[in-house]
Amino acid sequence: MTGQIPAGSLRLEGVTKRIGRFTLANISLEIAPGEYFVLLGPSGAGKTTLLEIIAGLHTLDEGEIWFGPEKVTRLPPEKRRFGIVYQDYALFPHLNVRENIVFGLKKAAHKQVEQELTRLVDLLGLGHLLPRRPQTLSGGEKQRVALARALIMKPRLLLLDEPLAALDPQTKEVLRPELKRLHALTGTLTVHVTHDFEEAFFLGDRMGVMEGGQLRQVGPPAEVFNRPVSPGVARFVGAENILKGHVAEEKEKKYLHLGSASLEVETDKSGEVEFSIRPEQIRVYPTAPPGNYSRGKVLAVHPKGLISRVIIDVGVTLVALVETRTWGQALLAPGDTVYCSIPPEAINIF
Amino acid sequence: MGGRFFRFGNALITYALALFIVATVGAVLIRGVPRIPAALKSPELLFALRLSLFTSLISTVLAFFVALPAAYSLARGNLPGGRVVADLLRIPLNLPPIASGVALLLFFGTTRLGRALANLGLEFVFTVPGIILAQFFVNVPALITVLKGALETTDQRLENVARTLGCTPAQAFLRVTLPLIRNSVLAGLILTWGKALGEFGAVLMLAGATRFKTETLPVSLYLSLATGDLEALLATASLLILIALFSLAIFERARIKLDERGTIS
Repeated sequence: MTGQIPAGSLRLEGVTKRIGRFTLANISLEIAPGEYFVLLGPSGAGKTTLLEIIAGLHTLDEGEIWFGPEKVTRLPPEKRRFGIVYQDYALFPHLNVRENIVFGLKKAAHKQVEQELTRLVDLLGLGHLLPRRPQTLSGGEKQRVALARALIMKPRLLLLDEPLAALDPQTKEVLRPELKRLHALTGTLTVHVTHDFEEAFFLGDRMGVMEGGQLRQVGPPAEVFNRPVSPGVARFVGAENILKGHVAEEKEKKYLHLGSASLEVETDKSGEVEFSIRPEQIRVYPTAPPGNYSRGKVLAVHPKGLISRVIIDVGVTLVALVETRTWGQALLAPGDTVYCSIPPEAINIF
Repeated sequence: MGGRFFRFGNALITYALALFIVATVGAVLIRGVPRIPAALKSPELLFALRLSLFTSLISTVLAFFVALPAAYSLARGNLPGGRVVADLLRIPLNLPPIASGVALLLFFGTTRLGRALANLGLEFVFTVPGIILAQFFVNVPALITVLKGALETTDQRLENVARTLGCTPAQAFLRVTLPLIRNSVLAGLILTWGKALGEFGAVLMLAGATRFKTETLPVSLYLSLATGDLEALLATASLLILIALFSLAIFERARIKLDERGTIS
């Protein structure tokens, strides 16, 4: 794993697959060499199916898959050299950790097997686990073994299917940076499937959001988070305020009418629109702030440690995340009158 | 009061049935086992024993190599018309073996295909290959059922991972799935072997009951009864019962091991 494993780019062109009533429709996507790409979407969106398609485990109904200049559409999985790690790691229960890791290596070159094994074991800190059976490992240990088993093959790309979903929150916190470190070390093009947008934000160079078998949006995490292209994507990346309103032009500026307020927005659309506002981009003040704001009444306060979720009625219902500290001793209470500052760039019109 | 009576009644019936079985089987064994050493000196019983062991082993191996691929394609659920095929494969399981024997006899004795096979040297009617075929036909559905059940508990994704690690589909099956179901395979084989050894109806119909030719242990038992040879009858019956108990014991052991493993997938 020293230095960079040469890796090409992955290109999907109009990939379509029907499985029973589910259809993965016309997925086109290009992932750069060495990129960490996160596929985000709710369960049932077709993420795992897409991953298995990339691995070659399903034949396509339509479309092509390219790895660099090589068309791999009809190449069987054993010839693709794409590694896969499943959510519950799918370790071989009849083999111990060592046998699991070296499973894919050819038996002949014994010395080389030992070398590769040692390198992966050092890289992932697995030395003490080698004789153990998978059933006796913790979730985090299983994940490392599954990663080692895939990486020892020097895969041309790595497919991770919800690799952190089965772990408890503490282990997750430890292993998330671990995945980043491994990626930095190996430089292997990685496609990581998850339904956790924080994970996507933390790990992804770029991400794609899937919904109902379709790829809705592809871009850097910040872009997808702040500028979701549809209410579905917005909902999924945690932009909780998804509303309808009216945009009108006054003195060459566009204004969105929200409840009794009139908020300046950056858009070329007019008339009835749908838009989203991320809750952390709404600032809440006791007095009228400068710029865009909307006056409202607190309906409910749900403290979550340092942050409180505050539900505010400004004519429509808004959710805002407020640092509990901001309000000093006097916490917000239902009935309080507040001013919600919403900068124009925080209002994402679909 | 009612609950106690209910539980007591159930327990009583259970014990009574177990006692009945032990009494009947025991009655044969008590009288038959002492006669086995003497009977084993009879060339006829030795012939029957050897023929039974030989035919049952061959038919079990054949059944295995047919049942395994069939069970796999049924278990993985991607066989077009799989449900209908699964039902068709179960037919011999519910036929009286003697009716299966009649079906085989008619097919190989009267159809053009049967006669063509006979001309090629594959003669099944009143022959030893007929014994093997009859045992195979009656037993293969049960073996498919056992293997299919075991395969359904294994995780398809383990094979998927193996494929991405360089295995062909066959290698993935042999290196991952087959080792995981080995206890079920063992149990299924012993069950099949035990049943093949005791198969009578189908064998009688297709292969007949010719002394020193198609005389398996159960056929020998039947011939002893027909000729009133009580000594041979008891010894043969005891042998059959002992073999059945032995295979049952191994089958149960394999199944317990299977349960202990717990996490098959």
